[in-house]
Parts: sequence; C-alpha cells; structure tokens
Amino acid sequence: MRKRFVRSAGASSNPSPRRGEGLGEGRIPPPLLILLLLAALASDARAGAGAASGAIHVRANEAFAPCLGPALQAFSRESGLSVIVDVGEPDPTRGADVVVGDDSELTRMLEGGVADLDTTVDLGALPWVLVVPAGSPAGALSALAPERVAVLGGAAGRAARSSLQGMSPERLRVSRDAGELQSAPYALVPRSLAGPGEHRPSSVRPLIATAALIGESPRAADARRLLSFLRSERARRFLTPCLDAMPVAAGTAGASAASATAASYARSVVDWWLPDCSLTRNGYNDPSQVLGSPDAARLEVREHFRGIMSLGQGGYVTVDLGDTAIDGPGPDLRVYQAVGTEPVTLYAATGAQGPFVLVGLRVDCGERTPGFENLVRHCDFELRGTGLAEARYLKVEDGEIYPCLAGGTNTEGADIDAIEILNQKP
Amino acid sequence: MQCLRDIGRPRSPLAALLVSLLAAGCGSGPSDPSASPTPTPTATPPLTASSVTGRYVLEIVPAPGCNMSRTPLSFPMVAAVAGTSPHPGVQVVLDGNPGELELELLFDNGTLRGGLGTTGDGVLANEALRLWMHAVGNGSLTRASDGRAQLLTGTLMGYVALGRPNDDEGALGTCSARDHTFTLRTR
Repeated sequence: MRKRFVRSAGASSNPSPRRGEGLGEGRIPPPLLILLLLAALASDARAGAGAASGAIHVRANEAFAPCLGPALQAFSRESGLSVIVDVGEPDPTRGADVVVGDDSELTRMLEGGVADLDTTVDLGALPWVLVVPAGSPAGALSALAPERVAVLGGAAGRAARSSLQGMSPERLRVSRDAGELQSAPYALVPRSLAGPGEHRPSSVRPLIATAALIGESPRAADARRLLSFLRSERARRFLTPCLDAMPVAAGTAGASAASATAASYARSVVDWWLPDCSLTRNGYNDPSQVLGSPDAARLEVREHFRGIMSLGQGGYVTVDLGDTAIDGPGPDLRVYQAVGTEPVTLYAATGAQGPFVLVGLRVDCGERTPGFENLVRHCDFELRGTGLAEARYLKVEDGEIYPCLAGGTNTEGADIDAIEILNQKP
Repeated sequence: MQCLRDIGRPRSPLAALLVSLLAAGCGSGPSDPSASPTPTPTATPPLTASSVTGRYVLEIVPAPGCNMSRTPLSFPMVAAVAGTSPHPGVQVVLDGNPGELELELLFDNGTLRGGLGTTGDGVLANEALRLWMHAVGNGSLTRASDGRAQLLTGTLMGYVALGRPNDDEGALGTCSARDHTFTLRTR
C-alpha cells in the first residue's frame, strides 16, 4: 500500500494540516463531520447494547457525506443497525466497512481489491456549481471574483481545479474543509457544499457517488445489507434531493448501429508497447484483447478479468480499424475501458506508420456502458479539430500514468476492452 | 567504422580488451609506413537504450501558458535499461524513492518517449516545492561528455499541479498543457 498522509477534512481549526500530522484516525468530532451516529433508534431493541461497536462504518468524501444522512437514517430505522459516517477521502479506508466516493477516488481502490468491485452501487451524480453573491453580473468566475475563489481539494476536486487553471494560484483557495467551502462568497464546489448566494451551473463533470464494500470488512454481512438498501428505489427517494439520477449513457455497446451501419470495431493490432515494469506486474498484457466488440468480464476469482489489455504506465496499443472513421455528427470514435475510470489518450492516422495526430489527451474514460454491470466504461472522441477528416489507425495510450513501482495492482493503467467507430465512412 | 559500432556497450573486461585490440587495428598504424599521420578515425557509436544509464538530474518546467511558477523543478534520478520486447525501454526513477517519481520510456532510434508519473502524494523537488504530474514525454538524446546519453530538450503533454511541501495538490496551481518541458542531464 502506498504511503498516504493523514488528512482529515473538515478540521476547520487547521485549514491546511501539515503532511504527516493529521488529526488522528479521521474520526473527527462533530460540527458536521463524523456525521451521524445513527444509533439505531434507542427504542429499537434489535440495536441492543454496544450498538456503536457493531455499527457499520461508512467513509464518504466531503461532498457526498451530507447527501447520505436521510437514506442512512431510513436504513437504521428499518434494520436496527447503527451506521457511523466518517468524512474524508475514501482512501485510506481507516477501518470503514463501506466507502462512498467519486470515480477519481475509487478507481485504484477497486482495482487493487481494497474495495469490492462486485458490490459497487452508483448512488447518483452531484453537479458542480459556481457560487457567487446574489445579483452578481453574468461572467466567468475569474472575472467576477474580487477575492479568492474556494475550490474543493483532493482527487475529487482535480477536474474543478483544472477548469480554473487560467486563474493565478494566489486567487485560489484549495480546501477540503466543508465549512470553509460553504462560507466562501465565491466558490467552485459540488452542489452539496455550496453556501449562500447564487448557484450557477458549471461545465465541470459531475461527481459520481459510488458505494462499495471494503474487502476486509469485519461487518461484511451488515454492510452488504446497507448496500442492498442503497440500491433500492426507497433509498433513491432519500438520496434524490441531494444527488441527481445517474446520467443516461449516450449509447449502449455497439453505438454505431444507430447510424444504420453495422457496429465496427478494431480488427488487428499494428503495434504495442508496455514498459517492462508493467509487463512484469500486470496480469493482462495481451494486445489482441482490445479487438472486436466489448467483452470484458469479471471471473469467478476476485480481481480476475478477461477481455482487457492493461496499458501499464504510459503503454499503448495501435490498431487497424479495418474500416475508416470519418469526422461526422457527434463523436466519431469510442474507447471501451474497464475496471474504473482511468484516462486515455488517443491518436489517429490514415496510415499504419502515421503520422499520428493527437485526438484527445488524458480523457477520463468513465462513462457507464449499459449492460456491463459497472465494469465497462467508455469515452468518446471527435476527429473535428485534429486536421484529420478520416482515420483508420488509432493509437490508444494510457493516460493514468501512475508510477508502476508504486502501483500494487495487476491492472495498472487504462484497461482497454474495445475500440469502436461511431461515424463510419460509407 | 563498422568494427567500432558497439564500443559503448557494457561488456566484460576480456571482451573490452578484444574490442580495444580490434579497434586499434581499424585505423592506420605504424605498420603502414606509407600512411599519412592522420588521426585514427573515431566513429561515434550510436546511442542505444543502454546509453541511458546511471545518475541523472531531471528538470521540469511548466508550460508558458500555465498560471504557475515556472521555476525549474529538479530531481535526482537513476536510469537503467528496462526490457527489449516488444521495444527497448528505459526506466528512470527518483534516486532513493523510486515509486514517488517514475518515467517509463520507450527507446526508438535515439529518442525517448513515455509516461512520467507521481503518486497521489506528489514528489518534493530540490526547490522545496511539491509536484504532482501525469504526462507523456518525448525528446531526442544526445551524447554527454562521459559517453552516456542525455536529453537536453524534451516536451511533456499532460497534467501538472504544484504546492508547498505540506499543501494540498494544486494549492500553487494546476495546469494541463501540451508544452511543458523537461531535461534529463547526466550527473
């Protein structure tokens, strides 16, 4: 397990805790955090004595924690089980039985087996909002804000911070303190952390709240009951005011079928490379697995898959599509990627030897693909703007670029399942 | 020329002696009195993946368009050849903490290309700034004075974030760009 420094969000007394001198085990006393000891209704005899010690521990990030309360209370009422919510980045788990985090936080936990992929439940989407004082004129946050703009820290806030890269760092306040974020007159935050003022829509990708069982949970049976409840329509009603329903995927596997032509997938491998370190440590190195239609699947043995090629640290696979993709309406190409939401970089060419032109750099590949039980995701690309009107050869490169030596899973890097033409040359 | 081609590669002492003897035979020598006293031809062996070896300094500069400090960030690194199939590779890691900052690079005809990555904790530079980076780098190698290869002009495409040593990721700026630069110089 790689080293992580202790960081306990919500510790407003120390807005910038020093590395290595965190606030203990992340069990932060009240104001808000450690949200709820939902001591299962004192009147409920089933809870019995010692409920807290047998309570289900849920660790949720700062943005999702405020959304969970009503649903967890309902669960406690129905089941008689206590639930304690501990607020902070899901990794490290700090003794949690269930974690609730965004794709950006859970991918490595799911790939490494810390959290159980089979148990994942998507709870909903949480949009980002721009917070400005009521009555502020229209315009970009950078132009409007006379003072610092607060933005969420940590992995969940990475995309939001990138969207503000035009602003001077002196004008940003990166924070994981919910109180600080909620009191900021100018902020870019998940809707659940927005304070008073006017909330304007943001183009930053919504966070996706996903819950998963921790593999070594000592309270696995109770935790599974909780996850089962969270999967129910009843729980959805409690979550909905805070979380939006999951976005409907743009298309199912074989999306090009909608355009009257048969779905067309990569047909042969032209070239590939994996760093020697990744070749040694990863378990899925066969480039031919990216050919044909999406077929990734979990096997009976935990953390074992079929139908994918893991690209390791910055590895790539170059394929011949057989057919030609053209710059048409909407996205032209789709990459199917499994086991989390690793970014992918895509290059295209008309000839096998290139020159390969960059189509998309480190694009998050996490759109859920219906029919694959949260295992297969995808990301779409357009040729428009690349200078290429058409392409037959694609180079798909890992965009996660996580140090191989620190990896610790056998699926390091983007895990490529298939590559599809969405706009095919007639 | 041909007989000097691989002289830069590591080899056993015996092999090195043989090569030296052969190399001496390649040029004109005292056994040929008619030869003019021109210097022995000194062909430069081509750079190979194994030319990138030993201790280096990695220096990274965020792209000009990034709204963050452009002070070069430097790191002590160690490099070694890493695999030959399906293409030769080179691994360059932080000296002493290899998992904190790692480059996995493909060697192709005198150029390097591949991924540079840090963990979620970032990596502390010699300049006391913390760097988080996930980027694809490439550049052409040149020969350093000690015979090893080094990279004096490289480009990085991808994500960079900066902070003070104990800061959150990106407290001193975040930037995705296609024109960050880096060098990998021998030390």
